[in-house]
Amino acid sequence: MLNVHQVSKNFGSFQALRSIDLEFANGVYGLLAPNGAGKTTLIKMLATLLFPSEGEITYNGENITAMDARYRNLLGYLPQQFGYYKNDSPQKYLTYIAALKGMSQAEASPRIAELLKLVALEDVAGKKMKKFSGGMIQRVGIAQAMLNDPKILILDEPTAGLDPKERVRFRNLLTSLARDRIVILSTHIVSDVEPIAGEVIMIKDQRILYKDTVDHLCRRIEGRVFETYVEHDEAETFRSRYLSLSEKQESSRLKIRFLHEGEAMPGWTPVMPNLEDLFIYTYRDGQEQEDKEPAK
Amino acid sequence: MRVILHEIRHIFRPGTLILLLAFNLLFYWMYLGFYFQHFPNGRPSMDTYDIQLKMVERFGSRMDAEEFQVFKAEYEQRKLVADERIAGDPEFAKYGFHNYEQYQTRAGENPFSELDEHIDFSLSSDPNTLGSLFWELQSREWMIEAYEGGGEAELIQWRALESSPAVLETVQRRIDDGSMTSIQSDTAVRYYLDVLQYSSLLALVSVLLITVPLFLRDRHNGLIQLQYASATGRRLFGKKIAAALCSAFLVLSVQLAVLAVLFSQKNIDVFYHIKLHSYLNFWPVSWFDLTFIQYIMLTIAAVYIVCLLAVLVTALLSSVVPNYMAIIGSLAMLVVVFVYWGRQPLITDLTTINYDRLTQPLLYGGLMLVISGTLIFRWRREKASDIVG
Repeated sequence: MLNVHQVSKNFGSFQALRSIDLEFANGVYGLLAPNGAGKTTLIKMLATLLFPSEGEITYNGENITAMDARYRNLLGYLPQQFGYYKNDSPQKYLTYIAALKGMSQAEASPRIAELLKLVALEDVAGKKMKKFSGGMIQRVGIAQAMLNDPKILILDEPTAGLDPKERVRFRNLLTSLARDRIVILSTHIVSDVEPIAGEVIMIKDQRILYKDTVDHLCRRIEGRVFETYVEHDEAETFRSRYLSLSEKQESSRLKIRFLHEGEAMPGWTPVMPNLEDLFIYTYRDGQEQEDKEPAK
Repeated sequence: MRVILHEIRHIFRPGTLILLLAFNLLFYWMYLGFYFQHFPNGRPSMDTYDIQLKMVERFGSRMDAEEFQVFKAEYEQRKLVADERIAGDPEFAKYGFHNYEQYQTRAGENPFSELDEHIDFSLSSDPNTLGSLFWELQSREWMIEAYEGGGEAELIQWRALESSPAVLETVQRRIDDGSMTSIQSDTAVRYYLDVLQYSSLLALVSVLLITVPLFLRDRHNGLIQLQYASATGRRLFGKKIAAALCSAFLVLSVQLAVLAVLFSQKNIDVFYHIKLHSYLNFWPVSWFDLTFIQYIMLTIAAVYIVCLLAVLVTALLSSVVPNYMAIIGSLAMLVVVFVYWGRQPLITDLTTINYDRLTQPLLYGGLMLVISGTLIFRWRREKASDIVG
């Protein structure tokens, strides 16, 4: 069990996180927030790259800073900006990371072969990475995070650069991995989290706003999400009154999915909210939820 | 250990090796090559050197008063040969020279270009030519002069420099105990010091070149987060420094081996086990009574220490500076300081009375203390610092 107890993080006078309390058991956790909300700060503290200014993070009751290498032995981490040596091949690079993770050559070799196959890079295992596409590089990053078969897998924006097929494969992989480990997935891409996250954590204003299942989170705005058709010349007026969640061109009109907190009007169809609706609603215009003028 | 080996592999990436090789070749071509191609360099150095080789063969490592008389008698014999050849040569008669002394006295006064051409003083002249004989006589003359008046001349020189009583006492002791009568070759010692001053610069710049990217490259490539989130974590800082020291040691040893092979071609090993203090060697008096080989070992150790300290400084800079320009600028200053102020006291003039007896121990001790202190401070900060980038 990974616990975050009353953790705050300050950079000088700037407070990046305030009094965070979290608990992670085995399963996939989606960490959702727009850029700058503090999720990378939290991720970095979980990866021991940043030290909490207040509070502590424990694993099975032991402070992770005090655990030092014992904790990082359990850790797999893919940073948002994943670094590598351009002239190294995936094989060479993963051998280096395995050494950093304290794995012996005997442990590392079969594991590297297994992972290169898993991320479909076995054919280019000996090629220099400077010629790789963004997606291929990201797959090397995913492989390095999983090298030591970590009990805690922390992935910061892991699907950046992956094509749709790779994203599906990656999501399935995470689901299978999460049976016996903690997987924390930090992203601002809602569709990466929604299908696989057991729980979603949303951060706002440097604090944890929600930590709940996708269903429970979506119920927070249940009955407030509608769809309707709007003529093009009325669209602007409509948008100024209601919070538009998504729009789609259908014949000569716009089909708008929107949020309204008052009574429904004729012609509006209530729909089941999804996580993306909640995300847009929560982080709209960078404004506080309460600031939004109610729809008329 | 595996992490250190990986880091060494990263230090010796192909680009760095090519740069290192290119720099070494260029440096050899520009500076060092000359010394390996021209030894002894010109005349009378080659004549002096030949005589000194024969002296060691004949008298051993020292020339006592009796042997000195033999040496002087040899000079007189050679002078007679010159007298005979001059007396029988009509070209000399044209200028009124009938013996060597007459020629020697007036040779510097007037231009005798035609006669000089006839004598053939050139570098490549045959050992049996009159030119070679004159070079030989000249070399023998200064050696006799140096031996006869050496002790007093040494003292006069150091008194003129207003040296401390400790310096004068050391010089006097070397004269009194007969140390100065050793047959050490100034040509060989100067040659070693010339090679040493350029080799030490080559070694220094080479190890700086390989160490510059140590931390910078990882920061530039965004690897720090991954490295520090691994089991090795912040201990990587120390492992990288160990890798840099091992790599520098390897580079220094390879350079040293190559230079040693080139140096050994010159057959100066005859003088290795002879004391450095000698009337025939212009190298300053030392606080210690060292042989040539002892001094060579001491200076090689000094090159290793200075270069490894420079590696630590470079590693520290590499861990804090924002970009390559900043570190190259800082290291360029370090190299200039070394060339103008550091090379003599730290490498080439070790243990000489040019410096106070405590200067070098204090200099080395101080450098080690400051650099290792800064390193420990930086390492502690690294252990406790946030990885923000």
